Amino acid sequence: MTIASLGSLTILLIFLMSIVTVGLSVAGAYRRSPRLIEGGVQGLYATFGLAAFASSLIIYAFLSGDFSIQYVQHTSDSAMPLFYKITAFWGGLDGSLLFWVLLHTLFGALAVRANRKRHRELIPHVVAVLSAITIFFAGLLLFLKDPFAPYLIDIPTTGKGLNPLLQNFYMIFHPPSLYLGYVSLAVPYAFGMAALISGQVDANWQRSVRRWVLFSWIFLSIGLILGGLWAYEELGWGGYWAWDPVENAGLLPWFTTVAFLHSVMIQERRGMMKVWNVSLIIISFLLTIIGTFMTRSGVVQSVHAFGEDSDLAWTFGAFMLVIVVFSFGLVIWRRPLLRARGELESALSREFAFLVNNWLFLTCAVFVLGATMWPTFIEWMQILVERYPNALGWIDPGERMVIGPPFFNRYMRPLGLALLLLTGVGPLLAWRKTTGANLIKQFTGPLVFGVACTIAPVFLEIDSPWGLACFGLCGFTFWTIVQEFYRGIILRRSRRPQGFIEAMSGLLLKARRRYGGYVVHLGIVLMFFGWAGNAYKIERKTQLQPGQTYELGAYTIRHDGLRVTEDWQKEMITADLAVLKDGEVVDVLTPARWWYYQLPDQPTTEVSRYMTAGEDVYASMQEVDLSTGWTQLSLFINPLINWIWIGMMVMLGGALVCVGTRKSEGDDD
Amino acid sequence: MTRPGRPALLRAGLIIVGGVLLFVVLVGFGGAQVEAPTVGLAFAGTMLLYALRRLFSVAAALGRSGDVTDLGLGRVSKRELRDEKRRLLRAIKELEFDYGMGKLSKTDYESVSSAYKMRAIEVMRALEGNADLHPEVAALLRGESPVGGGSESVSGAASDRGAERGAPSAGTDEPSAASADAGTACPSCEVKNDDDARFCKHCGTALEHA
Repeated sequence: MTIASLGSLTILLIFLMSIVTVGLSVAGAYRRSPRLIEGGVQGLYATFGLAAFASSLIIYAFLSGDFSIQYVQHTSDSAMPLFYKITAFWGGLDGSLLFWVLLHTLFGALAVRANRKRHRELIPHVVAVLSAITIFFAGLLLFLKDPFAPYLIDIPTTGKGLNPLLQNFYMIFHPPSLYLGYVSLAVPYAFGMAALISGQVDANWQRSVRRWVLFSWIFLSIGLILGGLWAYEELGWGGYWAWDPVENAGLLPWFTTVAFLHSVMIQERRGMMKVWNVSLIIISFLLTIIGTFMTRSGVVQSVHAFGEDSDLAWTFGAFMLVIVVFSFGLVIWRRPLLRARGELESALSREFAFLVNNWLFLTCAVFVLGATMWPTFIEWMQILVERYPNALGWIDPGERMVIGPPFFNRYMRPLGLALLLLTGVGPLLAWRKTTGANLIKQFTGPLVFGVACTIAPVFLEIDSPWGLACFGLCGFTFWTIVQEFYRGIILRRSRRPQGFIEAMSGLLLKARRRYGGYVVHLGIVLMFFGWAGNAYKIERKTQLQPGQTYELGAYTIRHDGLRVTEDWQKEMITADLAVLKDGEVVDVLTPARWWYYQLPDQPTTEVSRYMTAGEDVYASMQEVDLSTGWTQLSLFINPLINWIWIGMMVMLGGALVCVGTRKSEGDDD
Repeated sequence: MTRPGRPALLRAGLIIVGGVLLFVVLVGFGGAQVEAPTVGLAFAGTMLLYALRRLFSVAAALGRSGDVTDLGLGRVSKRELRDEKRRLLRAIKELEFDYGMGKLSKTDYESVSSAYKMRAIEVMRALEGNADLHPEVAALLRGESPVGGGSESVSGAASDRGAERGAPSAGTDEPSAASADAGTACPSCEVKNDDDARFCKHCGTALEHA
């Protein structure tokens, strides 16, 4: 038996085992039979075991260079470094679907294992929903995209190799991180559905899933930011975010999970918005499927899409329809149980701020989804009109157009700033309603600091209104956070005399949800601070010969010559660019072009940058003529850009404080 | 059947450690040539064993005679109760903090906090049985007025409520709600405690009462 047939057989077993598991769990829940339910739980674990076996088989095939398997032949070659051979597992479509199944079953098994004692009523339903999702993905592997599909004749002896663009440090972690975020959202969805089916729709299930949602959110954030760093360092166009459909696909569930993490607090405190919270979980999960659909089926044109595949598109479409009908059907059926206990009393309340936050995040998600899918909708309309001219002839769908970054930026900028404002305002408002005196006490500090931050940059000759607004809001929100920390520390010290540091760590450890959240907000502020730099970035294209200089903002760039080198994988042309400030050389940049031997017509651009806290001097090489030394360069000054990465680290730190550990919850005395 | 996870994890750990040791011995002393594919194959073999073991557990679970093992469907487990107690105490603390920060009006604070506290007392009663009730609550349950401890106003309010509603457990929330402002300070760490507290809630020092 070859590895290929063993692998295909394992996938068939995964598919069958998931069907059995769904059957056992549904029957067990219906007949209230512990034996069947236990069988279902074990079935879920067994599915994971099989998925792990199938994954290890494909990794073995990569390691041993088994080019009789098409997928292995397409995405690897024998000269590739060991590490990339392993990561080639998720480098293509078929393998990434198997990777999806592996993670999905792993998370399902972990979640069920952690909660089976705590939410007994829910478990059989959770297992059934999770396994039903496994059926879909295992079915895709089995019928449409078998990663173990072999070459039947003419078995090649060498591999094609992984795209050199993907042979990059960030690329090892960016896809799996986004994947972790995507796939782990199935767990909250399964718990939400289980709560609806069993009728136990109190806040209990949400407490269990909050941590999962937070976990998904962390991984989505890491994935998005690594994607940004990759684009910044590898693609050489001087930016990090171009509203590419696949990046957007990662951003969509990010928006809705943030919305959920906020609105779940209202439900805990006030018993409001139950339908809304369940819906957010459903939408988040649906968006992960839509994201996969957009990325994997090729309906949307993108740098990452894996090519057009209409079978896959139809299958995903049907699956999404099933999810929508099933989930919202359940919500409608259980609506009487989901009635709100409290109601909104004042627009100047924490609840209202959360509500607005939710609307804004949902608007962002809908806008980004709509703008990403719009060209595809147009195309579908064209096809329909062509096919049924009699019925639809009166519609003029227009041309397929490209919606570019300027369009997104125009609308997302105000939305983002409105969210930043809310980040500052929300924590200052009281629950239910804020009194006038309280309002003054809470808002004076942040307002004064915010205004100061708006005016100060004017003296530094920054006149972009968006930039100024962003700086002002950053200042406002920053002061809110400082004030919250300061007052919390004062409060702790008034209860029990203690040192400043002790009081602060006490806040972070004991009120970890709130103060962890503030640290996340601080990270967001830093990221917006970094984005504000975009308002005055400098972008130049120029041609230089060795010895020539070029003025770029406050810097002078001097071309010091070209070098040609090669190693066993590629040939490299590197330019030496001295960066001078006030006549002194502060750094030497080495932008390069690399020609991989396997893909000689697709040279990669290697960026070089001089990093400071205030700005990046960023250079990438476009064209080079070795005989004359003419080098075409793209030069950028990206102000404040490094604050985005710093903000990201702060944000993740805050999120980790929020997650905490289960044990420390108990220590809360 | 109490904790099936532990021995299984231990066994899996031992197997992995054993495998790694064997590997080290083979490479270090046996001079075995180990390449990446070999390691990959060994790993795949381990995964196969794991998958088979799991498949066997499915059969074992289904083959168990009759429905003897009670999974406790429809019953609240102690663990759930402990979880809920922990969450309630946490919510009360959070609320106290919010109130201190001016994020909550006094009436709101009191109504929400007393609701939480009622529920907390219920949960604790369910957890421990009536034997370990706070003496004051026990007294209220018996329909007597509380003995000693609390100050006049507090015990008055408590017994009034208890009489009115016939749900006397409400008694204890008043004193601690009031303690946000008043209370005795601990002699060793200066934390403010409830008037009727016998030990400091922060450091555990015994409190003196006149």
